[in-house]
Amino acid sequence: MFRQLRTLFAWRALLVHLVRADLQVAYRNKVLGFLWSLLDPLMLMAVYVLLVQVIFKRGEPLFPVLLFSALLAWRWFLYSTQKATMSIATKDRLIQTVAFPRIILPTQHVATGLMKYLFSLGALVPMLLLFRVTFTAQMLWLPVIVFIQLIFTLGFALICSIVGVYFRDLQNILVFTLRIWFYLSPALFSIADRIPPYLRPIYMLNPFSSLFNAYKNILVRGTPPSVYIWVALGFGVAFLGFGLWLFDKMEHRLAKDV
Amino acid sequence: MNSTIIKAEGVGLTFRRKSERRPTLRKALMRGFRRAGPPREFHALRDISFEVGRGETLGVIGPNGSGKSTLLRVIGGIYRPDEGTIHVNGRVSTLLSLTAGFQVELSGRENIALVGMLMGFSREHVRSHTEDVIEFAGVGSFIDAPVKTYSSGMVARLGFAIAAHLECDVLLVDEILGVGDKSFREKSQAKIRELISEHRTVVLVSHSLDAILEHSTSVLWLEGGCTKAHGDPQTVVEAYTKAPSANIGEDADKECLR
Repeated sequence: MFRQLRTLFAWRALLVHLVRADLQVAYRNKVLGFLWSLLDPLMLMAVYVLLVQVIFKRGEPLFPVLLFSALLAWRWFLYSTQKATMSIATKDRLIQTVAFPRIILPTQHVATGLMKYLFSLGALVPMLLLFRVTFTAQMLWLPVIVFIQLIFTLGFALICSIVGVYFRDLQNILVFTLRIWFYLSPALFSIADRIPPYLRPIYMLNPFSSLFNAYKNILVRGTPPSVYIWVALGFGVAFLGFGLWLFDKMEHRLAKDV
Repeated sequence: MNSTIIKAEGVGLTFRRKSERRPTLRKALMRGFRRAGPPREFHALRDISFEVGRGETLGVIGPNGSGKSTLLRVIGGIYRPDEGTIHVNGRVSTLLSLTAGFQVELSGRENIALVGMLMGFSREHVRSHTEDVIEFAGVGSFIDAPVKTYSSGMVARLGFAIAAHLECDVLLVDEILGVGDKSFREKSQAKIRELISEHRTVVLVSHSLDAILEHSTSVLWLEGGCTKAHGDPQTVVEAYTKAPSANIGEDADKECLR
């Protein structure tokens, strides 16, 4: 398990190289590319605002900025898991040519997703100012919350990348699963409004319940994350542990099976 | 000086037949993850043993589908043998054959960096050898164009140039000497001679018996994944040319004749 983590650390230069190449492709047209990476989530948010606030007349006063703080984090998870799922399965040529550590491939997409997320926070700051959100010391929680999401995302991505080699339809299944997962998680609504207190201990078992709630709390509401965030950390450690163990078990078989 | 660099002892490798793989998650769930019957196996290599010392060249010959490329992948650490052991003392070059694992959307220069780092070299090491690689490959101004715009000869030349210039202890050469125009063939033959004179170890797979005879210090004749003959180049090549052409695939799964 720790062997895989040590490998990742030893090969960090390659990881940096790959992430940089990813970002270069994404922002090839420098100004326009970067602008799009900010506009894209903003437009998605506009669609949800139209749907929830204008059509269904729901949502709280700060709905757009609350949604946005969760949406940015979700886009990181979405990008990373979807890319990671096919990251080994589609690299058959490369895997059968060079004997590099395979764990690099899914990790690359989680790292690129993280970088894109951090850039997109640049669009969140003007939003916070626009909605006159007070900047509080609670925002200092952000690195902790991001770290918890990183661990969970990496674990999930590692598992998906291996399963994706053996079951090629995982990608199609994931598209729907992830969409439902997003709608069930408190991004478009808040827990206080929609989840009755007696259901909360179960509801908070979803790592994205506490992650979304934490982003909203620390960035917009100016309150600390709920204690359930440590449940998300627990899930993160468990998923990452399982993912690393799976790589230890399966790595030598991947070249034959892709 | 003549220490053993590659030592293979009873190496065997088994593949599952293609049709047995690629099940979908949907089907697997419906079957309840039970096996759809015993997997049909294909023995790509059986009981292969040889040693290659420093500065020696092993030539590998045999009909198509006899396991030559698979053997190179075992030496390159891409496949782990199912039986027996293989020890390689030193850094092995990537197996850049005609169907190299390049990222075709990246430029030639970016691919040199990528493949070099995937082989485990530092960014600095790769950078300091990049100009030599470019010059040897002779792709000219195409070096900054995407590899998908290259001719197959250019891809092969770039692949060989990377493998030959990044200072590996063991060079795996798969059918490269028959590629490219006359001048590149001569250049690559000269490069191999130079590497051998530098006491680099080479494993050479080729259908060109002249090339095998010129470079090899010993020759391994594979047929149906079995060792048909191994030893002095002159003797083995002579026996190979006299042998009736084998029916490939027909006897591939029979036991090896002793």
